[in-house]
Amino acid sequence: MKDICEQNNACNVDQHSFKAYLSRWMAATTQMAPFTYDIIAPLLLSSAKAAVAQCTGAPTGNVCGLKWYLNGTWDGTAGVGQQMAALEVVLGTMVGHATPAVTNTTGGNSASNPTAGYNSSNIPPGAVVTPATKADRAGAWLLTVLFSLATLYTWYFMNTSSFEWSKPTIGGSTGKHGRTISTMDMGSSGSTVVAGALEKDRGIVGNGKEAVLVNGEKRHSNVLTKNQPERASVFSSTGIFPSDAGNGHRKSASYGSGNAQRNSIRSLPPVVERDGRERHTERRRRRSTGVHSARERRVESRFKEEDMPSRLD
Amino acid sequence: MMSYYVGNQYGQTPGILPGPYYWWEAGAMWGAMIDYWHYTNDTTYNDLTMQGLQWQVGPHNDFMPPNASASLGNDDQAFWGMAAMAAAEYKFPNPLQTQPSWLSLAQAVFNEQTGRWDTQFCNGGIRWQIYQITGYDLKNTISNGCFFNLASRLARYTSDDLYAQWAEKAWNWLWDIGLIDKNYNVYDNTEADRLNCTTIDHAQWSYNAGTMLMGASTMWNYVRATLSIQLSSSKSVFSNTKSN
Repeated sequence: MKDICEQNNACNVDQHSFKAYLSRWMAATTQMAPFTYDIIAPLLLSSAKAAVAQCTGAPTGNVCGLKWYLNGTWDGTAGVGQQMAALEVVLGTMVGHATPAVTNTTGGNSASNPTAGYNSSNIPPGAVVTPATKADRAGAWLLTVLFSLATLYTWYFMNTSSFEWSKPTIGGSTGKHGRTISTMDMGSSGSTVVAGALEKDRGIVGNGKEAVLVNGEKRHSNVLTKNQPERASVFSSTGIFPSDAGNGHRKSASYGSGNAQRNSIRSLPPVVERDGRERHTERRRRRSTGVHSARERRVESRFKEEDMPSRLD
Repeated sequence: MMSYYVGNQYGQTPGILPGPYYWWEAGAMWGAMIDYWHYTNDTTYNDLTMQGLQWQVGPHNDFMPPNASASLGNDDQAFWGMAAMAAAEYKFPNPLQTQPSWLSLAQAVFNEQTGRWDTQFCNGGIRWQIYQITGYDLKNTISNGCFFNLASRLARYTSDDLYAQWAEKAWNWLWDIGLIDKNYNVYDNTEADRLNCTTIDHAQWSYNAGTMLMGASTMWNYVRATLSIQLSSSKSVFSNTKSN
């Protein structure tokens, strides 16, 4: 299981947790639609093994990173997202022993309040849906689940590398890199790089035909890195964030120019961009996208360095 | 994971994580702790989970606490709502009578988000952000997908078909706009205000596919269950007819 930001060390703090939710929902899916169990359970198991194998990080020896594909090597990062992702995928392997979710007719006793919420009287009427027959709907959802699973499986397979499949063939040659992931276009890179297998990075991230080169040296993308200068820089107010410049370019214009700085604050290599469209792409890649300035501004203003998680201290 | 949480310490705010973690991720974390309790029966963190979730319900019992409003997206609210939904589904201990029930919290999130269904652009869908801050112009898959996820689970839990109709509406919108393609690839977002959702950001993130899978399988479960009830009742009609 792998998200597209991992191999370029480009995952932001939100994105580090995404695999937790896929794991959670894959596990729960096996209970909602039991015919999916035989497909999903092996995926969760292999992913859990890979995840646990790399939970060897300092200082306690059981800190998890995010790159489960590194054959049991910790990627040097730590955080709530990494821990949660590993936790959920391991829990998912136990789903066969867990009681499925109840309903209000099978033991659920949480009190209902159909009009809960503020101003719920202003809810617009739902679209008038010509009700399909129940059989139609059952069939439709059955097919939907099946196709979703098939696609998910394809996506998973394309993104899985050696550890989880024991043979380091995935990603071993040009053109086999999960073409379903449109943002990963490794085809033009000539010698391909198995994600993260080489710390000497020359990865390519792009959207469709455009590509953003990411050049850099070995580094840690740890947002919680113990490296003091980096930590200090994350939350200092020295104009790291585009909005700090105070020169009015708080909107999209700032994203491009802010990239190098934004990456460098997490000790990432600079992003070299070729044109405006790439900047747009980069902006959009943040947790769903680019709320970046608003959110980071908030972080910057609300948290001081001493408020950083003390996990690694 | 819980060693990062300091909300139970003196002078800290229960329910949230310290920086750099955003408000929403704490809600997701409580969902993980409910999973943890459910799968392992270890109750060690139940009190913290109860306190954390209830502390953040906000003045309207809808997971919109004023302190979180600076970055509050529909997806953010939904992650808290789904944690409450899981608490109801897994029979996590009920809160005090004076506190909102798990189910009602999920219903509150759902009700408010139906009110944010926006037909001004893109023929529907809910926006990423609740307030007009950066990201308000986007309609993204995780917001609509978590709405779909929550709606399907409310339908299953309550057997109220209204929720199911909203779930189908959300799925159909995502499908029609192209955030889910015909091969069931799930993409990230689309811009509403300027582009009327005519372009799609084709990035694929794991959680987007995950939330759609969860909702779809829940809908299958729900529709199959209601179908079997109808079948059995119609069978009895037939047998009654026969015996008569």
